[in-house]
Amino acid sequence: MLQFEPTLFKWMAFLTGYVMPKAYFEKVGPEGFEAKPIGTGPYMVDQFERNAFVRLKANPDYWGGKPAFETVVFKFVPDATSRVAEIESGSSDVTVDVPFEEFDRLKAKDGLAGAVTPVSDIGMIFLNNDGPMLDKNVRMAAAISIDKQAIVDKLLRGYATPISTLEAPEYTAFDPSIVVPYDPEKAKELLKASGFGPDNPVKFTIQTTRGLKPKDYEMVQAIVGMWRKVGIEAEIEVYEIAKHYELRAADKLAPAAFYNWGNAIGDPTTSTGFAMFGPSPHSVWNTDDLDGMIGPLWGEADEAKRIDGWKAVDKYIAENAYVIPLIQYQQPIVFKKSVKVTPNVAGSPEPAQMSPA
Amino acid sequence: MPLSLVISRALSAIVTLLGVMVIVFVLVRVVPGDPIAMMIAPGASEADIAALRAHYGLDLPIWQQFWVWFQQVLSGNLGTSISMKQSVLTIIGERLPATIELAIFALVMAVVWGTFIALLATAWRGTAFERFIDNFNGIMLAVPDFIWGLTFVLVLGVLVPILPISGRSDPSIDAGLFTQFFILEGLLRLKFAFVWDVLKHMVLPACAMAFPLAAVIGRVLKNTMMDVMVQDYILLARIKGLSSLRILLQEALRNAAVPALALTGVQFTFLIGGTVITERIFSYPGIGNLAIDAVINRDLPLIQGLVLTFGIIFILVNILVDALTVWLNPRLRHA
Repeated sequence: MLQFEPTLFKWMAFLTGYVMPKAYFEKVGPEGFEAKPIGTGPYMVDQFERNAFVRLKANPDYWGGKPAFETVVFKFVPDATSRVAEIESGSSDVTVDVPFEEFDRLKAKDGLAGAVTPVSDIGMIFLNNDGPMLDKNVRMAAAISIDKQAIVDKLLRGYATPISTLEAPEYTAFDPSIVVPYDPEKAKELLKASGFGPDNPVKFTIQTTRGLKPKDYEMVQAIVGMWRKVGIEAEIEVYEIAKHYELRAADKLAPAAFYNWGNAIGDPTTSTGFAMFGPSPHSVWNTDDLDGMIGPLWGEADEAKRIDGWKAVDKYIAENAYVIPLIQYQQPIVFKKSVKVTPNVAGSPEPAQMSPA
Repeated sequence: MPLSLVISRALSAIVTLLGVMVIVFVLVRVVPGDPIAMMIAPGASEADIAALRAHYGLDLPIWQQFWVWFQQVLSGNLGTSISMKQSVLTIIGERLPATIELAIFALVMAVVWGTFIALLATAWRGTAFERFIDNFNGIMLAVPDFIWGLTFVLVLGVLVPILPISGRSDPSIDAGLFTQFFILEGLLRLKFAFVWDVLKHMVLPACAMAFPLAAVIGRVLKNTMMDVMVQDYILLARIKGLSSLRILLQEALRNAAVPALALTGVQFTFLIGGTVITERIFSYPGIGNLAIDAVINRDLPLIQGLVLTFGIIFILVNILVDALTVWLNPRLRHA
């Protein structure tokens, strides 16, 4: 063993850990395995047409009993409008990630039902330790002048959960006692202390994608409106997600940048850790105080101490507004009433969690 | 076609392709978005990132990258897709047949429909019916293909669900084909039920692509036929006692076909370009749909391979149209 990795078993229980047939893999190689994979799940790959569909058939030897369906087909429909049409026309039995307006309409239709579940994905604003963001008052004012509940209610039709740290409620290091309040009056005071106000606003750029995540651009527009009232004048710059990655890797993001962050295993290393630890290629805020707190936690063997350590980091980040967590996303699923669907927090509904109603 | 003309066209094609290669290679590298930045693993070190960049040859100066790619292309290798980790040639080879069959189907629909409305408008020239057809044609032309696509999805996919709105074939059918030319191989191997299913899946995207093209063909054909209908030889045909239908089909249409053909060739290249959006709307697994994924993922080798493929298609279509025009017009044959 080269080093202790406290999250190893969590990773093994997730996507990166599955039983593979050694002899078969060595015989056919990676490309052969990808074309005709063999696993241990309830369904087996029957046919795969790249970017068209994958057809699964029940695994008769599955250790967990007979699967609910003989055949399951995943159709690859990347366009949200087309997914709406698929379920509405009856061409598909289950679909995900339709616009919330459509979700409300579809679930009210005869023969269709809907479920919404919080998933392992959050919306946040990265702050860069540069320019106006070096002023703690500006950062704090930006954080506490955002009415997250209003954004959830008015823009996302209630289908999201406001958050105060990068830990969603389902994550291991979630601490409900850490709350960043909505307090625009306090924000004005903080800005005034730094010489700013509605008549003399602090100015910076906020970057965002448009249409990558539900209402991403609209959320940033609303936030900029809230900021304007307290004395922050932010200019919106829209970019593609590829540009975000390029700028982030080069540490050249604007002082504020909207992004969504998934957490595959619900562990704090894969949320706060990689997002906030300076040496991580994905972090934006890079300061020694924070890195000094995070550093020892990577190899902490005592699990309770490790999780408490991350909670302390999250509290410190919230108190210093090194990042602005906004919401936890919820995934809409629309399905025919003839199917029983159990949503999961990974955001990837599985046929093993579905059965005839 | 004289030999000198053949050589001239071949040289022109090579220069065009070279130009396409240079432009696309430079463009995809200057537009924002670094493919390596999108692939960085959570705990990757600087050395890991540098190794990844070197693995895809992106650490070299741009002219060296181009030279490597140019040599690869000449040896029939378009490189390896960054997002799919597969040979670009294999990926495009799997998808291109779907787009070719869809584009040809759309072209046939456009030609048949365009010719039909041109014949109707010419036969009823000077009447209210001609004006109705002109107006209808104007709507077909004014509405872009992707709007037609969304309209068809809504009307014929959702409100009156009579045709499939996604994919290329019913996933439950196991046709057991060897190639991706579903229609061609299906016909050759007498799998008519499968071919019928594939055609049903192609109708709506093909209609969306064909409508604007049909309108263009119809308009040009009608205008040319109107010119032809006042020529002396048409009057002579009438005096000879030929029926109106025969005059329309044998004299007017045949003489009006050459300019319409040249235009159809040019428009067909636009139709191929239109597959990008239409294939996305209908989740059709062709190279148009693939191109969107390639751009989103900043998959440079795949984007380059796709643009090169589009370029080759455009050049081949133009050569084919030129040859057909010369063949149909005896005067050009001796030019």
